[in-house]
Amino acid sequence: MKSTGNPPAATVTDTEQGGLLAGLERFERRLARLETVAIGIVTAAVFLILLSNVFSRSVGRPLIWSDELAINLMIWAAFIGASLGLARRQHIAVTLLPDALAPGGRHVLAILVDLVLLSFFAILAVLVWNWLDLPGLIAAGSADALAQSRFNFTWQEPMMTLSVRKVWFWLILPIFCLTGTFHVAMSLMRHIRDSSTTEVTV
Amino acid sequence: EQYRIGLITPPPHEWTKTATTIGERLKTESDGRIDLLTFPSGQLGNEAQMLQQLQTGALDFAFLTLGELANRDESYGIFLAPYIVDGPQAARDLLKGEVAGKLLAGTSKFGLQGIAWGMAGMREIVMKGKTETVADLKGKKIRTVPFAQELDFWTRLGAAPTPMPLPALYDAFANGQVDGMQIDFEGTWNSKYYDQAGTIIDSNHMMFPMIAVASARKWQTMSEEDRALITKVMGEEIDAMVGRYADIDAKYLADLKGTSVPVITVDRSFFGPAIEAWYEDWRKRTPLLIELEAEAAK
Amino acid sequence: MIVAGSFLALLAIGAPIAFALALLALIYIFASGNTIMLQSFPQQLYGGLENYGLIALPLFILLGEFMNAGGIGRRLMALAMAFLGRVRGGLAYVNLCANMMMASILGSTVAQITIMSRLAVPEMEKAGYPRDVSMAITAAGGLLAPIIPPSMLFIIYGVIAQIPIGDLFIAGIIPGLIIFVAFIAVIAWLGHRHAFPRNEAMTLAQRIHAVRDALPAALIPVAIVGSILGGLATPTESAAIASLIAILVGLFVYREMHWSDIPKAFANAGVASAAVLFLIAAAQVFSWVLTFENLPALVASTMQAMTASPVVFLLMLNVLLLCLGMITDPIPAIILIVPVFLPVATGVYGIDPFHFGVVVCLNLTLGLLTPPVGTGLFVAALMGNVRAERLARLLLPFFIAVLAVLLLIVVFPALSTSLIGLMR
Ligand code: NA
Ligand code: NA
Repeated sequence: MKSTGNPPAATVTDTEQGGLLAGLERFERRLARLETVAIGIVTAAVFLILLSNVFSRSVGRPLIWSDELAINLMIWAAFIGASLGLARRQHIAVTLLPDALAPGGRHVLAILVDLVLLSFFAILAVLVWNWLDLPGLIAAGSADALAQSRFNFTWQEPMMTLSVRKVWFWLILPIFCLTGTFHVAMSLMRHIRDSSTTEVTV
Repeated sequence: EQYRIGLITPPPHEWTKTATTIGERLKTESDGRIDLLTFPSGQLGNEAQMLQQLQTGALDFAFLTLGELANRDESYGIFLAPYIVDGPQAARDLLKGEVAGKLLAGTSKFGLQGIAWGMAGMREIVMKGKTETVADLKGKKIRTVPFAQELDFWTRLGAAPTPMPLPALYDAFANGQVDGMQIDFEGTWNSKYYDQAGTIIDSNHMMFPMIAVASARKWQTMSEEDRALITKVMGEEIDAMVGRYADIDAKYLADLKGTSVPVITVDRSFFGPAIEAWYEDWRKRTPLLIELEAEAAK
Repeated sequence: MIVAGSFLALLAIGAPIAFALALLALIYIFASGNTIMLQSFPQQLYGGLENYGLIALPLFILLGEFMNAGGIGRRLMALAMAFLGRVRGGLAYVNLCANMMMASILGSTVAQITIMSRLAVPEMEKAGYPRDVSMAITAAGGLLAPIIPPSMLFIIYGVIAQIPIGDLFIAGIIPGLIIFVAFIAVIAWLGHRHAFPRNEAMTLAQRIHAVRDALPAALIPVAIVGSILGGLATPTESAAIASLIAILVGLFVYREMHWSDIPKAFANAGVASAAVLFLIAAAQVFSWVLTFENLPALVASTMQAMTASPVVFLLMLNVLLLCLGMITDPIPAIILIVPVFLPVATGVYGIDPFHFGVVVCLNLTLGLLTPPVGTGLFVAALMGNVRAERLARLLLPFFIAVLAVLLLIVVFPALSTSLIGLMR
């Protein structure tokens, strides 16, 4: 089992190579960079919210909304980080079997894992799509109309202490589906390419 | 047929005990056809998550506090009007009244079927330091739940309402992150908040309502016979539970009076003009309050 | 069976545990035919993290980052060493005692492991201790956090059981002390086995220098304790205050930190906590599915049919909890188990609710360090850069010690209940 992985796979690939894959890898590096910066900003925001909460309470004017905002920002950091963790191989996994196998077998397992992850994201994407029901919302015209016509209250959901709709925070789920799928697809492509080169050299 | 009911209260709480009793009665009176499983302590999620599961029809029933509904329609918070009733007995009548019925019917817009209103113990005040007049509450951080009506009540008293999750309350009160709390006698006794208290104010200033609801989606699929039986049994048991709260409040008040913490008994006049100002504002924001006041005055 | 089998298969091929758990929840939903739950799946995945207590995780990791960048951890350990004579494995005991003191302030294992791994492990390594063994001692010390009051676990149990939290804390004191003593014994044995170095005695001048140099660094623990006990901050907020002080001390007093370290620390803390948080989200969804299918109640009624003896019941429950603790974290496990098993324990077997609480909390605490899903284990592995697998093996003697104490508490309820009567 390990908790820290190899360096980001994207940085060790040959960038001299042109073509679609190289372009996609450049894009993945940029995405990973963006995700890192976003996590830093969100974590800093949580830190500042907690500090301001201490201060405002000590002067007798507690901020009612601060806890709810801090929690939801933390969740954003968690989902962005879960996506980035796929690119950086930072998720915790049991590696007893892969470690015991020869490189060829390990490769097959790595492809298998990528396929498992892709199927998870495929299911999650369908569930999130049905849950948000964007076409339904457009057809209904408003969140209230959607709730009336289809019993879908997702877009109506208020927050407890913040005067915004909850759905703005929930949007991290479709984002997570997109970026997560992209990172896993890249990993799968690399694994397939690497295994074909292995076969050629053997 | 198997049904599920979700609650945020723990197993020993009166609401959970009532839900269990309802399950037992439904089983007998339906000759074993209805099997109601109780999920206490927020096992199926917090109230927002339970509400969503009710809306999809995954969850069948729930006992909800006001938070989620009042957050969507302020009218659902009118039972929080200070001194609208003078105790559990009057509350019992009001919760079966006309306005209560209108609000039950109104839950259809949230995808729910309202079944009955209930409540927990009357709200009292537990303060860390010595408290004699309402002026002593000024500037104090009081733990409340984040309902608009309740926050507004405390703000008008010059206090700083401080929402905080219940598990954090014991430490926060002991260390002084909050100076006091609005709570019932049962909670004060069971969680031993009185250990850290300087004054307990027996104010009975507010109700803490509960609404028993079914999933509207699921309700539509149930037979006429089952619906009638469930409505009858839930209504009776919840009404009986509200009736028990007079004794529950009295018992825990007596227990607390046996400790060394001073208990002061106050009424509406203790809070001064803030209450009238609260009513003037909220009559405008939630006109249904005027009807409720008329009903309570009968 | 199919569900458990597919989970093991997913783990074996090396799928990330968090995703394996989330998929497992989905498979369970499909297998049960209750597909209506799928409509709630996204919201449950998100909602599993809507818990104020979890903010402690990124915040304390952040504090660790700043303490490290500013050279604060190093100086605090030097301070501890200044008061130590020539003892074999002296630093290991310093580590444990520091953990004991931290545990009496914090309720979170993760927070404690994060801080202590930044404070103690680099110094122990420098002094000649094996890095992985140092990390294991630190991780074991983190187990004290939820056992020595205050404790988040006890509070949640107290809220569910509706018993006084203050009394519950008192019930945890004797078990906590026994575990502390047992850990000292384990460390003495480890010191013998791994030949821990003796630390050299310092000269008086060296000691004075160490104390003077550490004074600004000592502001950090003082800020944590002071802000909590002074009513200024919650334990989570205290990490934010301490982080702010760590930034100032690192930038302006020790001048070891640069402005550019600050954004890096925020990103690192966010990324490091995300892997663990996502795992918690998956574990929550999984326990939601188990609850919805009413599995805990079925198990409870089966156990009830099997025995009439409270001790046998508690032993069976402990085996169940150890298994559950392997794949979930203590907080979801408590919400899953206690509402169902507590009424059985008190009503059918006449077990004291305080006794039951101490047994359940102590057992589930172990789950923080047991693979495959152990938040504390992963945080320790992450912070110490040690493989979680290796760490789990090194932690084995500590596990055995806790299990022995657990058995003692099961058989002798007085260990947890007698002090409450005395203090009343
Ligand atoms: Na503790
Ligand atoms: Na575990």
